[in-house]
Amino acid sequence: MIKLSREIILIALLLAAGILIGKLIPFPSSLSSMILLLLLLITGVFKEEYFTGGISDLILKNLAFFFLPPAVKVIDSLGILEGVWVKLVLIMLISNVLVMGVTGMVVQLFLKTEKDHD
Amino acid sequence: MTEILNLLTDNIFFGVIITLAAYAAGKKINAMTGITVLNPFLIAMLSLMALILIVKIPLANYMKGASYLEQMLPVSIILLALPLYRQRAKLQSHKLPILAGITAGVLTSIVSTIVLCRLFNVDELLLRSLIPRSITTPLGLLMVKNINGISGITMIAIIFNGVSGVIIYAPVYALFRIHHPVAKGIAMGTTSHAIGTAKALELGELIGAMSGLAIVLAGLITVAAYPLINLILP
Repeated sequence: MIKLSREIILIALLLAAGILIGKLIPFPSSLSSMILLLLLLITGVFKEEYFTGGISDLILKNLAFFFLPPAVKVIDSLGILEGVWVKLVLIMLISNVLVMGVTGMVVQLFLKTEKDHD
Repeated sequence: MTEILNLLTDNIFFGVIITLAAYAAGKKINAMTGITVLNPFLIAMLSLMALILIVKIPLANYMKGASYLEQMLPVSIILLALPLYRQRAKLQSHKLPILAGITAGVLTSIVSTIVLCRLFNVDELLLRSLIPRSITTPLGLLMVKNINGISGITMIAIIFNGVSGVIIYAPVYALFRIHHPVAKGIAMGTTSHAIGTAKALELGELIGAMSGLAIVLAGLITVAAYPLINLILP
């Protein structure tokens, strides 16, 4: 119970810190909070155990659950897709083939040069 | 009949409870069939939509409770620091190839979407909504607000990307001769975020871990690129 409370309090504090940073610089506050958490973990100020086996893991494992409402709300914007959806599917498919292909090729290219340096 | 229906659904519990039930059913069906494309999210989404459309439940009634779930968006973004931290050793070992690959992928995604939309004469608002579709939902929804797209369309496009990655990966790996597990995983995560990563984990532990790493990095790089997008799209 104490562990769970600590976890929730830390997340709330991180949220608040992000909002404060957002007041100072034009940067999405939740991203500031995320980067802050990463830095605190790397520097060892926060231990990874604070966030394991509790609510954080539960949320991360079921992230998709929280996006059901915005997905269901799509019912409202389906009208916009009428007449264009075939085009959009085609565009996304071609683009996705390129993205997957280019990403993989560039990773491999750099892996090869890395090996050559060894 | 409509009055009874309204009476039953016009409260904050209704939306939360049917969302929970649909997600639980989705998990169960996915575990039973073991088909990646039939992921819990997709099953739950389609059954909720069907229920709302067929029974004619007012969307506003569903959203009364469901909108509270949406408020978790910032929390889920913060927690993305955890997988990134857990995979820091894997990132460290191939830093340059991974970052170069993801950056190239993100730029390919943005540029090819803009070029193809212009070619096919798709209107500006839809174009903007398609750009943040390769990345994980919380970051995609954050991004679409920044570039003034329609979040509902982005949501559909994100799901499309996840599912399409699971369908196209084998021919794409063959076509572009992608055989290294690090390259396979990074390519999958950069294109198809979490849905693709579920498939990547089936292909191998290293492929899955790399795909998981790519989800967060591709999301961050895409969000970082948004001033650039606003520059290209006046």
